[in-house]
Amino acid sequence: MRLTEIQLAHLALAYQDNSLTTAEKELLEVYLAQHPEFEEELQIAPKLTSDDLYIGPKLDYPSLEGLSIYQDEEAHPFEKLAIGSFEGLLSKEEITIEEGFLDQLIYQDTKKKIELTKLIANEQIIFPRHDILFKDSKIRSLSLQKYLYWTSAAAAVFFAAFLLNNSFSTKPTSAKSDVMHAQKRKTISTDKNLANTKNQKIKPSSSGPSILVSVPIEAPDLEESILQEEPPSTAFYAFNSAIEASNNNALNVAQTPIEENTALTQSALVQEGTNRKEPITMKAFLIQKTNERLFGVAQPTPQQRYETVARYANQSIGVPVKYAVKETEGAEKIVFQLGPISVERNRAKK
Amino acid sequence: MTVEQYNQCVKEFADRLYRFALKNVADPDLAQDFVQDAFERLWLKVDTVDYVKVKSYLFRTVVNLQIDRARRQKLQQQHLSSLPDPVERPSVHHDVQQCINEGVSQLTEIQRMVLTLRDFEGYSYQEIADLTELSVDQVKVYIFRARKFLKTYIGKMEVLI
Repeated sequence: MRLTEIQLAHLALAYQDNSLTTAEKELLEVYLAQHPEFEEELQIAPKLTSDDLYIGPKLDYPSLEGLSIYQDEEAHPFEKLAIGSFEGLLSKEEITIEEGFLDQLIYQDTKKKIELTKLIANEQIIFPRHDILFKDSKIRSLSLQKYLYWTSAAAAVFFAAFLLNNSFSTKPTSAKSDVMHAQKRKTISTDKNLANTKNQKIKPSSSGPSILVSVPIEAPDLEESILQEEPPSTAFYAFNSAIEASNNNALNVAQTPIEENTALTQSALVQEGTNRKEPITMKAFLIQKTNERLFGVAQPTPQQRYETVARYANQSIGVPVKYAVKETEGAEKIVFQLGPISVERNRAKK
Repeated sequence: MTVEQYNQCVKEFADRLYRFALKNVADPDLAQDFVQDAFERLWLKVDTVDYVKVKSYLFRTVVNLQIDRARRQKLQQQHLSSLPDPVERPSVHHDVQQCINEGVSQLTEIQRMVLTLRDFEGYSYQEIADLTELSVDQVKVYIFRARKFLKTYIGKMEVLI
């Protein structure tokens, strides 16, 4: 059998590349049988395959053709078999196939190298700073979600109390003026009612002139009276002058609540008249406007403030809010009660 | 998880995490930072993390930190690729383990990670897939390629020696 130099080169290269077809393998075997010296040339022929694909000069492994493991990967069947075996991924058929190669030196070498690829952890390497990782106690965290309802209500009250406090601390007038202002408002509304009523009488008492004012007993609605805040009428001033005259003459004034209101009217009006003429600062103006917005009046009494806060809290968060003022010596304690939560605030009496 | 259990985790896993991180990043300081970060995150969630799953939580945290770092590094390398290559020094290997270590350093980030998880911690393919958010088949392929590469690397080194 004679082969051309080109045919021999092709066979040698295909052999090295492990890509001989069945026909080429038969051809090469026949040629080697006739020309055993060619086997030596075959061995020293330059390798054109990559190192990782080159396993050895075995011509054919028909049993490896049906290997399904790592079938999409480019590698020699021995490598696939060895790695699959090392990883424990071989099927029963593949294990049987592998057993057929266990005695083969090339496969043994391949398998040995694959086993060397197992990484071994160096136990002497340790984390050098264990001490910074250890903890003494648990993180103390407050889960607000559980108490969201109550905490939001408490926050609202705290905020309102804070506002109140600011308002008190910056307010130029004292608590007394608050009372006077409240009385003034009542008086104004009383004045209006007086203007409307026709049964007002002033009659002297036995020791002097006493005043009995008959006005509607129903107190006007608070909000209404705020809205009706307007300068007193001329009739009211005339009426008020009569009261003043009677007071100056040390007359007994009938001790009815209405008369009390009326007696206070004068001073309240005087105070009001004075205040109206005085220019106010921007800060006072802002406080006044804020109060009007929050409480409906420019200078609300503490009770009005507490009531408003409690009402707002009640309406906005749906939690029943109560408040109570406990007076002690020289101070008063305001207690807001939001379900199980109570917020206390002490305030010195002025 | 209680404080005692947390401290037990530190004793049990700190070294293993450190070895795992060190093998992957080859930088002791960075590996320490990863371990510290992992335990810090665990401490912040000490009430919610189940003690039984704490190992996978810690390893997942370190894996994520490594992936983040690899991404950042990739960006940096894109910038550095325009610079001239440094002169390669011929490596001298005294033993096979050293040779493998060098081979490992030449694996891709993900190959190195799955291989160390497999060999250091003995994780199953499924567990590695869960930790790295890869599919089981991908994990198999990465491990296969890593071993094949290392086997070839050892072969080359043998030839050189």
